[in-house]
Amino acid sequence: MQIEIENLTKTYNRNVRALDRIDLTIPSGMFGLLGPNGAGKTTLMRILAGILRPTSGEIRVGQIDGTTDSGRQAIKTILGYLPQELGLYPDLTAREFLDYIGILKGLNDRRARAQRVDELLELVALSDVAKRKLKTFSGGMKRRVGIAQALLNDPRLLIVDEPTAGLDPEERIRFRNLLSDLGGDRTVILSTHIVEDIAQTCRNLAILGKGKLLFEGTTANLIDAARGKVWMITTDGPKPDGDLTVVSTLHLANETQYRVVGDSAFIAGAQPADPSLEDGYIWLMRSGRAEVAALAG
Amino acid sequence: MSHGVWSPFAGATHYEFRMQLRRKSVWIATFLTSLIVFTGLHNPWNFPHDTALSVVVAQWAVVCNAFAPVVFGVLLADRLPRDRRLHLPELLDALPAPSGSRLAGKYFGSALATATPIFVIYLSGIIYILADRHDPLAVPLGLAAFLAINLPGLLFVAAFSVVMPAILWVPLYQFLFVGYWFWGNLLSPSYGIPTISTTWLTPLGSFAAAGFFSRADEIMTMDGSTGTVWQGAGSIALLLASAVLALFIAQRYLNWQRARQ
Repeated sequence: MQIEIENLTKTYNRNVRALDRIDLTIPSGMFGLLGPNGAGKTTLMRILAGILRPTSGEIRVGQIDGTTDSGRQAIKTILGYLPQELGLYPDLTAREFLDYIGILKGLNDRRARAQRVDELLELVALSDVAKRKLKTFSGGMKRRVGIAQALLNDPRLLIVDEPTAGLDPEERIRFRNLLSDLGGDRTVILSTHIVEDIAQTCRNLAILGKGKLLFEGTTANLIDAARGKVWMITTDGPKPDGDLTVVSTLHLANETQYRVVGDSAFIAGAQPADPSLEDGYIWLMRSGRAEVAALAG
Repeated sequence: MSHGVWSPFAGATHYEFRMQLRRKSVWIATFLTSLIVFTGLHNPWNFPHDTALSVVVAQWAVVCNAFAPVVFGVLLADRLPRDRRLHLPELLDALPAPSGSRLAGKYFGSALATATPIFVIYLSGIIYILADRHDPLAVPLGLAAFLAINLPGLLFVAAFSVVMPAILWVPLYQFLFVGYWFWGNLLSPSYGIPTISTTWLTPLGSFAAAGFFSRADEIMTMDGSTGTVWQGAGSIALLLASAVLALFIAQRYLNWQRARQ
C-alpha cells in the first residue's frame, strides 16, 4: 500500500511551523524516517495516524483520503501505531491490556480476540509474563507490549515512532528483526533519529530537518551522496580542525583515529574510507541540503 | 472487525471498573469515611422498633449519601488527567473506537467501581436491619432505596468529577468539590447563606427518600427537606439529565481540543 503526501503543512499555535510543504511518496515495505530531534517526524507520524489534522496539503493512504474525517477514521481501522511515548495502564496485566486495546480496535469476537492476544504475546516473547501487571515490566518489555498492541488488528499500515529508544542493544536488535519481518507484507514506517536502525531495516527513507524534506530516496542513494567525503585520520596530535565533522573517535595505544566527513583534500595523512549510511546522513545535514536533495531526486 | 459504539463502551466500562476497583485508596478512603457515618444519630440501630421499615432503610440510604459521595467525587477526579499523565491519549486516539464511547465507559466503569465500597458499607446496614427486624422485605427495599436515593446522586457527582478535571487542576477541583458538597447539600438555608441544598438539584437523595419511602413528616433528611413522589422523580430525572449534559459537553470540548491541536 503506497502513501502519497502532497504539499503537507502543519502549523501549531503561535505560528510554529512543524512541517513545511512536504511532498513524499512512501512505498510498501519498510520505510525509514530520519531526522534530528525537532525535525517534525513525530508530527508527520501523528498526522498519518489520524491524531493530528494537517493545516494544509493532501494525504492518500492507498485509496483513502487522509484529509477528511471519514478518511482518518478509515485509516485508523487499518493502522497499527506505536507512539514514541507509549502509554500503558500500569494496573492491568499484559493480557488484559491487549484485550482492552483489541476491543477498542473492533475485535469483538471474544474467543478470536483471546487467540490473537495469545499469538502476539508469543510473537513478542511475553507469554510467560502475560499475567503480570504492566507496572512490573522493564522498558524493553513495555516496548514489546507496544508492538503487540499495534499488531492486534493485523494492520496494513504500521507506524512506529522511535521504537528502540531506551532499549538495550540486544532488545534493539530483536526489535529491528521483528520490524523487518513485519515489513514483508505491509507498509511499515519507522521514525527514528538512530541511523543504525534505518540502515539495518530499510531500503527507502526520507530525512526531515526543521520541518522540511531534506532527502527522499534509497539508503544506497544516501550512502553515495557521501562517497569521497569520508576520511580516516590517525594522529597523535590534536584533533583535526577545519571544516570537518567528526563521526567517531577511537583511542588507540599511542594515537587517536578519527572518522571525519568533509572535503578533506587539505588534511595531511587523511585516508579515504567507504561511506556508511551514518556518514551519508552527516554529510547531508552539514552540506547544502537543497543540493543533495536534488542529487537524490 | 466491527467499529460500533457499544462494544468499545462495554470494553471501556469493564476495564475502567477493574482498574479503579484495584486501587487501594478507593477502599481505604471510603471505609475511613464510613467511620463518620457509623457515629451518626440516624443509623439503623438508633431507631425505635416501631419505626416503619421503609423509613429506617431510606434513612440509612440518606445517611450513607451524606458523606460517602465526598470521597467518591474526590477519588474519581484523577481519571481523565491520569490518562494524560500516563501518555495514553496518543495511543487511544489512534484507535478506531469513538472517543465518546471511551469517555462514557470511563465514566460508568470508574463510577461503579468507586461506588462498590460505598455499596458494601450500605449493605452492612441493610444486613443489620434484616437481622434486627427479621423482615426479608429489608433486602428489596434496601436495593430499591440504593437505586433511587444513592445512585442518581452518585452518577451526578461522577459525571462532574470525571469531566471537570479536563479544564481544572485536579487538587483545585477536589477542593472546590468538597466545598460545594457541604454548601450545596448539607447547609441549611436557615443560616441565611444562599444554597441549593433544598432544591431538586441536591444529589443527597432527600427528595427521593421522602417521596418514595416515607411520609414527608416521618423522614429526617440531612437538609431537612421533604418531598412528594413526583418531586422525588423530578429530582432523579434532573440529576441524571445534568450528568448526561455534563458528559455531552465534555465530549464536545475534548473533541474540539483534539481538533485544534
